[in-house]
Amino acid sequence: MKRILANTTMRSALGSQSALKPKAALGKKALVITLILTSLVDVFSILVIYLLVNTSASQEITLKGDIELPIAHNTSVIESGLVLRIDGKDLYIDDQIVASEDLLSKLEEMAMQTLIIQADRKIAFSELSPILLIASRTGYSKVRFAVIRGDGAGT
Amino acid sequence: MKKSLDFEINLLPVISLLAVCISFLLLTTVWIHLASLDITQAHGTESSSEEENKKNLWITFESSGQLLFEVKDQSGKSFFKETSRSGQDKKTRDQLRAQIAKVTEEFAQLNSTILRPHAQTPYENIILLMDLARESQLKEIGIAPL
Repeated sequence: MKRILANTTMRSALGSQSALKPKAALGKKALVITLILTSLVDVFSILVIYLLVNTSASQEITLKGDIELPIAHNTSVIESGLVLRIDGKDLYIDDQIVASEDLLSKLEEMAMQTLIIQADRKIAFSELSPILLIASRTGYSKVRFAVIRGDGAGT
Repeated sequence: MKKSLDFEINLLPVISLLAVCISFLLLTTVWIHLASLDITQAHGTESSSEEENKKNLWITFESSGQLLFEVKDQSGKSFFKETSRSGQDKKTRDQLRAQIAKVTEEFAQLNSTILRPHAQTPYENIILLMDLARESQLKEIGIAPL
């Protein structure tokens, strides 16, 4: 029995990590702790797969300032475009502050097809209306409002 | 002497690798997903449609906080007119959803939906109506500037 224990423990990688000591003194009870690692590996694998699936490959648009975007459920994937952020009384195009009187010339200069508007959910429409007018005047055929995707399927 | 056929896999490197992957992904994963709601804007030299019998849904945000749902054609003839309460609470959302569903059921071939907000209309209320319109399969949504 001792020879069997000694042989198997010396050859087995798992056995060598257990607390079993084949050469322990006779009569002493050895404490054996065997960790079942299979379930731990299962949990880790599922976590990794979930996190990998959750990583999206869409355009990275960062939220800056104290803007709280509105929430919507039936949304589209946000695509590339010129990002215009309304933060209080200031306007930012690609994180550069723009004066209201320079907005028209700046949008004409950028000459992109899509305008993405980021604004706080509490602002009044009177702050948004001039931007929509200027966008339509400068040829921006697609105007998208950035929102936070709520529960439910996006389109 | 019989050779042992036992095969033991050392799981410690696998666990270490998975733990590193999880730590990296937890730090880099984006939890808030940004999306967009699109509107269709007329611009430049676009002229109005020549088909005058195409009906559009007009949603007007009144200063009193009420919403006026109206179905009109290009000539201005009204086919449907109802008011509804505006708000962000669940009960109001359900009422608005039912109202839009009623309109789309009655007028299956709506050309577009036009929102006419008031100057003080909160942005989130406009987004809510756009969201509900898209839910009812109304694709062409526009906003009339002030």
